[in-house]
Amino acid sequence: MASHFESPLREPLINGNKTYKDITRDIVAPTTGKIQPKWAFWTAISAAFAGLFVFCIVWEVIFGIGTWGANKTVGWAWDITNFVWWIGIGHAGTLISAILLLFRQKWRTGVNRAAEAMTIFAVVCAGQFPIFHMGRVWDAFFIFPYPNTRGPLWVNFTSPLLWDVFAISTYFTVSLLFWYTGLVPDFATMRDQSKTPGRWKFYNFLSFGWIGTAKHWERWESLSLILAGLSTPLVLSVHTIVSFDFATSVVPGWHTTIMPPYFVAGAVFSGFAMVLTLMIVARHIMNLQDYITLAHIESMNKIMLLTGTIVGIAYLTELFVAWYSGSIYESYAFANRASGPYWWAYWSMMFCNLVSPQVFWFRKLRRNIAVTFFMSILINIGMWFERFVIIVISLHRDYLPSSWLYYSPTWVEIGIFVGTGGLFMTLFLMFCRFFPAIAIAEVKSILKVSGDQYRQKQLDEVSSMEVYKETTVTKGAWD
Amino acid sequence: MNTYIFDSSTKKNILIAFGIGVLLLLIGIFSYNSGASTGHGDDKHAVHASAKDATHTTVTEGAEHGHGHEAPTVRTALIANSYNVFYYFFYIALGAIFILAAANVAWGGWQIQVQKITLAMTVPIVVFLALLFVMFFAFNHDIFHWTHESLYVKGSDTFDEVLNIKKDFLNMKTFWAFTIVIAISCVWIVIKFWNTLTKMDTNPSRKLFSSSRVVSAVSIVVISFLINTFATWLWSMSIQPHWYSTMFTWNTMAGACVAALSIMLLFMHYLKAKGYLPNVNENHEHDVAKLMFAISIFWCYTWFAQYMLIWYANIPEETEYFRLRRNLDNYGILFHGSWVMNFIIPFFVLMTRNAKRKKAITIFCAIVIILGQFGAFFLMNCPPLLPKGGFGLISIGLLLIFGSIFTYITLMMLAKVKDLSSTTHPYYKESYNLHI
Repeated sequence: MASHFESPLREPLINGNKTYKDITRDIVAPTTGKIQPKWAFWTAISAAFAGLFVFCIVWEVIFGIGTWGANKTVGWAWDITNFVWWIGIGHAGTLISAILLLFRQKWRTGVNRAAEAMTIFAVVCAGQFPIFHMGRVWDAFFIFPYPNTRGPLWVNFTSPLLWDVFAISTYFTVSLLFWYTGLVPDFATMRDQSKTPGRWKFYNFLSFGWIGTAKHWERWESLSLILAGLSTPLVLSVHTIVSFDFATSVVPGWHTTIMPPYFVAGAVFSGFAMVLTLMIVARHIMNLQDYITLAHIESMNKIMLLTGTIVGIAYLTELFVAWYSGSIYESYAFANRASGPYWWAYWSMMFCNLVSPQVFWFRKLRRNIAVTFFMSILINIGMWFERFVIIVISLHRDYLPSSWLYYSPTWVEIGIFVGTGGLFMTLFLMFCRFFPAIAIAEVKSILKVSGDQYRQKQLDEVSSMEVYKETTVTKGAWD
Repeated sequence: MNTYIFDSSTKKNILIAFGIGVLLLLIGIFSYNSGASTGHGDDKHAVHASAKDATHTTVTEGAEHGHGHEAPTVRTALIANSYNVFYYFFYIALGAIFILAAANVAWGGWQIQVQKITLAMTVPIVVFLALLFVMFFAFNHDIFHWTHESLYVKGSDTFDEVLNIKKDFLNMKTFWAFTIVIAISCVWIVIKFWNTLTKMDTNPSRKLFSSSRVVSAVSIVVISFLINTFATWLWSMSIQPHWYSTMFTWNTMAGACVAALSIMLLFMHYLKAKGYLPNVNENHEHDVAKLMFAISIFWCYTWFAQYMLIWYANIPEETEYFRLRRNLDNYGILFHGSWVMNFIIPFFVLMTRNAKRKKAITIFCAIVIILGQFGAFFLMNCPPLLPKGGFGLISIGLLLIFGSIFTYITLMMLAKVKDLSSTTHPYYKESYNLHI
């Protein structure tokens, strides 16, 4: 990484005077030993919800899309709302692993592994919705363009929905590769720590026989860089194309040019909220407070403040330009959002996404774990409402007032959505148990620069500068 | 060598650039009606023709424009071009503020040695605001079609139904209210930044360091919610008053930031060539070039999203904007040229690590971007006023003239800075040690 000097004004990212050995031990510890009852309990509950997902999907496939509340006017409802919501959640992982890597943000090392895992699981959940929305899911392979005997029945290359198929499958593939590449040296570390031959074989297999030679590391670094370079445009393209699903249309409320960038900002926003929800719990259960420090939480809260406010500017811009356009349909679409039958969804969105993150202007609140946890939940609710507002409210009153109606979900839709939550949590809990939840090798790479025991040495280097006159680096200096 | 001296040879070079600009401008003015600009003969109502041409509103042309606008074409061209140049340099200074604020609020360590350049680049905003004010006072009817009272008289030939809806926003009172608030906030931000960062040179303290971050955070919010939003809507988007796009504000700001970074890179190389900034090396140049590369892509992203969505939906109220600009008879070459210069060239040239670290390559890209963004800004502001084409010597001449003024003010302010490399800043050593 960059320079070996870091200003002692920057908060350490690894606390507790850790050595390389401590890092290995601390991060591998939660994956060894007896299964904790707490873990088993939550995994069982999550798996039960995943079962609900399977049940509802089977129900939907047998009895058809009619079991959903979606209808002729509101053709897209919970399904696409949930799809976009899950896809958005995945974005934090790619942002951390690719863009923050390019910006050389060292704090990414504490959270990137779990966030990348979250990306994979979120995309898995997201993918379910468009697939099962097709109705005749056994014909799902029709979306792939390949030479076939179906005659004129051929994919529509000018449709953003098809671009989505490519964007998301590419995104999933690259994210998976990136995540796995990062895991390879850590699997080798876990193999070397293993005490039983079965465990040794398992992790040796996963690590592709990594032995950590200079050549291995060189190739590993090149591959990481290439994948980071590929992921960076992908993190933009995926949600851009998701926004095109709406914005290329002429539906009032959908057709706004600002949608692509603010969808991306919103995705990062909700993704970080989900990372925080999970990591705040995980760091307690797995005793990782020294690696996921308050500095990490504060940085993520800052990103949420930034992206939430970007999204807020976009909402206000849309609102203003809808009026400014002079188009009565456009103005109505937005007036109907704010004061129509779904006003509560619109105002929940505004409150959760634009107003509530503003509490993070205060340093005390950014560093308060309870507040952060509460906010992370609130933001995820808000971002879900954003998609609901865009999709359902724009559709439920179309050009023909006789077809206006009020959409509500059925139990099948609710079951599928809650069920994907179970699926997501099951996968995440399995990940925490069997995989290193923090990137061991990457955390080690910043130890000598950002470990708390090195701050005094760094202060000595610059203590002659006037600005450091009263600086101390004892514990609590950064609180 | 930690204090910049604005020497006479530099002043002479700026004066030469200024002189060339004047020369080009004069040639442009005198050759305007002959040769270069065909189709300008019947341009009596070119000033406002565009909105009508493009939207095909029922308003009959001429009745309203016939009188009071007997301006010769060259007058219109001068007004449109000057206004665009002032707006462009206003935005470059605003972009400099934004970059400075973003770098400080994100605790950017690498840029400490060069941040005084960005700081000095924010000061010309005062001059260009003043010039914009002159344009607003003297030529508002020439630039802003919506300022004509006759558009809002119900029942008259010139009544414009769409503008009648917008008149709660597009009216002189609102315009001036926002314009004055924008000007005050810009000046306030520049003064705050200047004071905070220059005080650090003589009296470094942790307190000043945190206040520099507070100023940065506040100015980002003010720029995003107020300055950038309303400046683009009122000063630029309303030149073609029927048209609207939500992306317009962000696209403008992205262009301003990348142009400001490119100018900053040129200043950095100039100072290095003069022997200043001894510890700025190819690592810092690499970082600036990376940002140029990244923001060029972001600019193109916003540009493409705006264009693609409007093209795809094909709603006449929206496509009128591009119909006026994409047509090969008038602005087609500039239209396509600008995204080639702002995206294709920086993207392919600056892609590799080696390219970002080579002086000649980054300078080339910086110049391409500055000119390309100038073209992009011209396309935002001028086509409604000069619907038959009009990018030429006058535009380039004015760019050189006011570019020289921008450079002069920046260097003059840089000479007032005591500590050019910000050696007292707490992150100085991080910038000194930068190695990527």
